Amino acid sequence: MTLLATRGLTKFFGGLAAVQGLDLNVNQGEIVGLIGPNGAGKTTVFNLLSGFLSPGKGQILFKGQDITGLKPYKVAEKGLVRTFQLTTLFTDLSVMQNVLIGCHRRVHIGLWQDLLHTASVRRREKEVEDKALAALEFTGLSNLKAELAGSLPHGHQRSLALAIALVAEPEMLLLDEPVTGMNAQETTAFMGRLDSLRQRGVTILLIEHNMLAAMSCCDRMVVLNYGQKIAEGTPAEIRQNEEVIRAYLGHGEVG
Amino acid sequence: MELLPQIIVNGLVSGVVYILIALGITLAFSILRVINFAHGEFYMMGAYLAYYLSEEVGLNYWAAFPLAILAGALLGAFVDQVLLRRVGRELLRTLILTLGLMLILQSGAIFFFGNQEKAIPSPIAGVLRSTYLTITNEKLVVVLICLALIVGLIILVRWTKMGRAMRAITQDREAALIQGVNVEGIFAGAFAIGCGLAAAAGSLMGILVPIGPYMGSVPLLKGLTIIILGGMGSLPGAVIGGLMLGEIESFMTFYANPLASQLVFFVLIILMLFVRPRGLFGEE
Amino acid sequence: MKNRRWIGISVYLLLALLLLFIPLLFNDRYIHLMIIIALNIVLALSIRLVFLAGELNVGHVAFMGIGAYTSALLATRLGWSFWISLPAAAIVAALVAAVIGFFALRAKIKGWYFAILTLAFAEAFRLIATLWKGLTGGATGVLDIPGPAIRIPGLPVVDFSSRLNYYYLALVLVFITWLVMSRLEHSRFGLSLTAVRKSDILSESVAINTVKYKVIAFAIGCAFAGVAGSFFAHYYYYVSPYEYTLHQTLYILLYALFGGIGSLWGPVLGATILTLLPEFLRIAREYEPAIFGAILIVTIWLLPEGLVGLRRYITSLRTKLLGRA
Repeated sequence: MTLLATRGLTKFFGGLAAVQGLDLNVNQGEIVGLIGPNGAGKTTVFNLLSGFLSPGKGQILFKGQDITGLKPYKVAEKGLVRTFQLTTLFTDLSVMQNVLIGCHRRVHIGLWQDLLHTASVRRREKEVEDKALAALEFTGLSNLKAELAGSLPHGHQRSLALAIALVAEPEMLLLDEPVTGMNAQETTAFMGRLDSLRQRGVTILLIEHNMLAAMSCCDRMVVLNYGQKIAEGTPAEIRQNEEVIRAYLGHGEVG
Repeated sequence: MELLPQIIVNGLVSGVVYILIALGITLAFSILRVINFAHGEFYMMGAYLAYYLSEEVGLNYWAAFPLAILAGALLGAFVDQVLLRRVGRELLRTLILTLGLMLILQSGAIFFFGNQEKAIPSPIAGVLRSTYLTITNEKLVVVLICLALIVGLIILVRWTKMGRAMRAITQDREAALIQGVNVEGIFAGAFAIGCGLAAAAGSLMGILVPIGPYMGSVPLLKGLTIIILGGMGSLPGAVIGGLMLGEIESFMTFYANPLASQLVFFVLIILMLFVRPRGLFGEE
Repeated sequence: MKNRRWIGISVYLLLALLLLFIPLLFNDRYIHLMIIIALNIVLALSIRLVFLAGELNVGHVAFMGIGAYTSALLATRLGWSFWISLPAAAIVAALVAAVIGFFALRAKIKGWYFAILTLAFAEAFRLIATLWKGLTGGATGVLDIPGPAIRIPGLPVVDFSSRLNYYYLALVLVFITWLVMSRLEHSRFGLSLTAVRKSDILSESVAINTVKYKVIAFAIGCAFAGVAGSFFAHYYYYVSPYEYTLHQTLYILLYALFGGIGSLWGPVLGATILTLLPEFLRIAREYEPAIFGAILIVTIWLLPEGLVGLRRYITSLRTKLLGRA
């Protein structure tokens, strides 16, 4: 079943087409990789999908509903949560607080109840705390929960970003270069977690520069160049696709 | 209709002085990212110093004028390096520091000169009359000097080494540092120039209007209004904005209630913010 | 540990008793001063709320003015009781703030630009109040505003002809303001507000409607400003547009920033000290503004975070002087 679909997604910056006529489909339970040389428009696609940018043309459908042009918080509310290419955390808050904030979508406390601090509020906060701890456990950050997010080493920060996205209990995750800057060990562990998530029913669309990592965990890949889709298929097919190889070589990069 | 040229010229006279004030504020903002809430008091100080040096010390006004500017600039450099630098030039802390400075300067003016208004007798006599307008020679000279200072600043920013350094800092502070620009020095210099311009404006206005300890608060507000209209951190914005304000004011004083014209401004600003928040020339 | 708790409670109790009974010994002038301090605390605490959302309100006094005029007009033109016009003032101020905040923040007018918008709005308000003679009485303002009175059938009428009753009312207002601000901050709402302040994009990505939170914080803060305005209207018995100047807002900001916005105590300390200071400096007569200004400068120079940064400053001094504290 198609969870996320775009039709003719287009975005211009000034006169330049950052994304042009993109038709993308992600089925439930898949891990799809969005790859392409630098400047191909991958992050722009994420910004469009998650509502941080509005498209010039085209449509975005999530769970069958049209989410084109919705504000970012509304998109997240529907269950589509993204992470950011540059590590974005609440750096001067603790790891635990970071994750607690992420629980927002699942906590539903009205303002009055919040003010009065009723017993039901306290109960719900306890549930939320448990969820937060579970997410920290999953990403291997449990013993760091009191540390300041900004003081964590890079790899842990990326994991924290994932934890924050996870507690929102998304149906689909958009991960923007999640393993950049991680060493081989951390990368393998992270990819393993993505696999667990897939088994739990979370669909993942992933931008990744690290080819080995991407190819190892993605079911399918979509290749962008200059804002347009140039290829789509399994990792094996993509590896041998001439156009793809040309695109990367043309940019002076080697896959 | 015959009054039209007169209204326009009046607007020009106040306009150029406003430009000087606004340039001072926008320079400090674009380079240091701070707003000096005592800017009006530097203006006031310029007026009082020009008065003091020419009336009580006995210097020629044209000698007092540059001295007043220098004093303003030196005080500005001091304020930046000793006070602002210490709090990291952070906006809200600068707000408090400069408010404190404003109170001290106002008190100082009252202490040294009392509450009574002072005036600088005109250093230039004479009036220029034509069929359509009348302009006193002193106003003419004020306009010329303001224009000279504005052009001077433009030359500084566009063609000197210091100006290049300033522009580098405006674009990317860290990069400028790495390239070896003396960032602290430029900060002090820019802030000093800003204060000096305010003092210049004050000294010049001191010839035209009465000098009082609280004369700085209205210019500050006007300067801020100009910058919002013209765009924060934009020099051309300050120029266009200043002229616009001078002209609009001149017309409104003529045809409307002064309070209503002030109201029009604020409504204009509110509209600006919705339509084009960065002002006419501001950066995005 | 239990001992500490008892000490804390007894300190609060002592403070409460002092606040309740000491004024009985004071003459009117000091009671007036304490009333002003109380209202300044309300204003400083309320301006702090929108800070927590990451925005700056440079037009706070205008909302005080809106509350004042609302209450004054309801009382003089419609004869409403103070006890209804006070909450009405709060609601009107909150509604105006909500409308402005909603349209502005939704149009991405934030940070600097939002601050300027509030400034422009405040000045426009003052000018409109001065010009619209029909509604607001123009420059003269609204006069002969009745003081509050408590009429409970069966009990003697409590009128507010004595300042003391106003003092207790002001005390109640401070207490309520403190309570609300404290609850807001230490709740999930406060956590989300902090998130919005620190990173609105990260907040949006986890389904936090940043505009909603900012608007709510802005509206609640302005509601309390309206309450303060209404109180003053019925305390001074008149309202005039001249009080609601940028100068006033800057002072309120000062109270909050001087005390430190890092904690709830900051605005309380700041408002108290900076309201009392001119009184103590009165002996210095004309030098008062200069000394006031100097104290502002020296304090922020030493404690950029305001008075609440004092604890940290002392700890770091101790560490520096004695090696390890």
